[in-house]
Amino acid sequence: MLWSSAEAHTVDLGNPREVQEVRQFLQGFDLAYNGDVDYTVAFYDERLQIIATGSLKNNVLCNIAVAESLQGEGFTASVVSHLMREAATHGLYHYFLFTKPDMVPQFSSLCFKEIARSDSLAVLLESGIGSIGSFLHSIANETVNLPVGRRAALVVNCNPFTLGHEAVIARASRENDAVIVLVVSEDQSAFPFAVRFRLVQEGLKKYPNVCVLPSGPYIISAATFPGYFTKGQDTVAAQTRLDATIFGQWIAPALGVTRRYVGDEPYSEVTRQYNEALLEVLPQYGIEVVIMPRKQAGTEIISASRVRQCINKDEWQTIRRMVPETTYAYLVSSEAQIVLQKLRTMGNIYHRNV
Amino acid sequence: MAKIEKTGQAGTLESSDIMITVVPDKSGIQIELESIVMPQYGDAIRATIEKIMKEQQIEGIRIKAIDKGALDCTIRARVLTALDRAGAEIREVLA
Repeated sequence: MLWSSAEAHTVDLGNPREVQEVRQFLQGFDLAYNGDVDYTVAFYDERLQIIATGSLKNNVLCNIAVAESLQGEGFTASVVSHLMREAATHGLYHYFLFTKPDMVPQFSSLCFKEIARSDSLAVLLESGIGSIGSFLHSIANETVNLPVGRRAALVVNCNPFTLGHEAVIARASRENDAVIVLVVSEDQSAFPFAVRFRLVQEGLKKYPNVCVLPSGPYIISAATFPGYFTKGQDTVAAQTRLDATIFGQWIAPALGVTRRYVGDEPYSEVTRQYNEALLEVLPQYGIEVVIMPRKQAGTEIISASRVRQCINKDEWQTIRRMVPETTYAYLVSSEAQIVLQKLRTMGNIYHRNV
Repeated sequence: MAKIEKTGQAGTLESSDIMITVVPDKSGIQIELESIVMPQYGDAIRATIEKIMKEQQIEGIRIKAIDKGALDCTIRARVLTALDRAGAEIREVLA
């Protein structure tokens, strides 16, 4: 058939029948349809059979497949172009894409560049405006004024910043010449990124060898933590390993980091698996992983999720024991009330690192 | 000399087309070109893009071009559309 006779159709994600058609089509390629997407396009032939599909979640292209009989005729280019145009309408021009290793050549020919691969399972590619090269350059520039010598890094969400975070960072600050704290940029937590970042900065002012930076699009982001290229339980394992690989292969060398500190995680299963992946992957790149036990306030372990629980229950005495002055001052400020209100109505559904 | 205000994009990655993305930059004209016919036509494509920037009097711009063998007229159309979407005021240029 001719590609020109194929019709692009935006899949109504609320229509179970349409979604099921896409799901079935992808099954033929041994791909699980990840339903957590913002946009799905399907191309139909004149008999109204799906011949190609692709989806978008923010700036991550996923669920891309083209009927076998039509492969090699440039149809992947049409699907990818269509998704890029859709992303552009939302002001997104930096694209990520996950795929299996055997599909890489197809996307390389569309100017997608490989960032990293985790085992034989998945490869992360990027294209558009922005690249890991320019990102590494910019974060390296931000850290030139730090003292020379042994450098450590931490990746923290700090939702919000607690005395537990401070304790881990204080120890890293003592044990190393310089410490780089990367605050997760992805805005998917109860406290907005701008607030989390500011509270970390304010809380760490007294440590002169500590530098606080946004983690950017390559560490614990929607791009490095996708959900479709493998099925079920493997998903988290593959994602955490990919994220760890990018850190070991690219981020750490650019920052001159040889150690990464993480907080022990007794509560969140996802974080526990993430720590496991770091322990397994980072030493291969010559990076030592230091796991710190949680700091306690009295008999209780300090954690950001506990602080959020206490906010829900209005237990301000407990909060006071768990957060530094700077965070406390923010929490009781009028500025915080909208965030706290949102937190109370949503409940706590987030599982994040330290 | 004019500047663009935001990012603009036009074109596709399909054969015989070119995808142009323009981004505001501090100064100058910076072209990042990838083409399947780079050895044969790389310089010509660059020249076409530079000429349009001159005609439109645009500076402080970064242009990313992914070329799949587009003809000169296609390149012109895609670049002008990308500029238009980036908020530039397109001037009519007599050939």
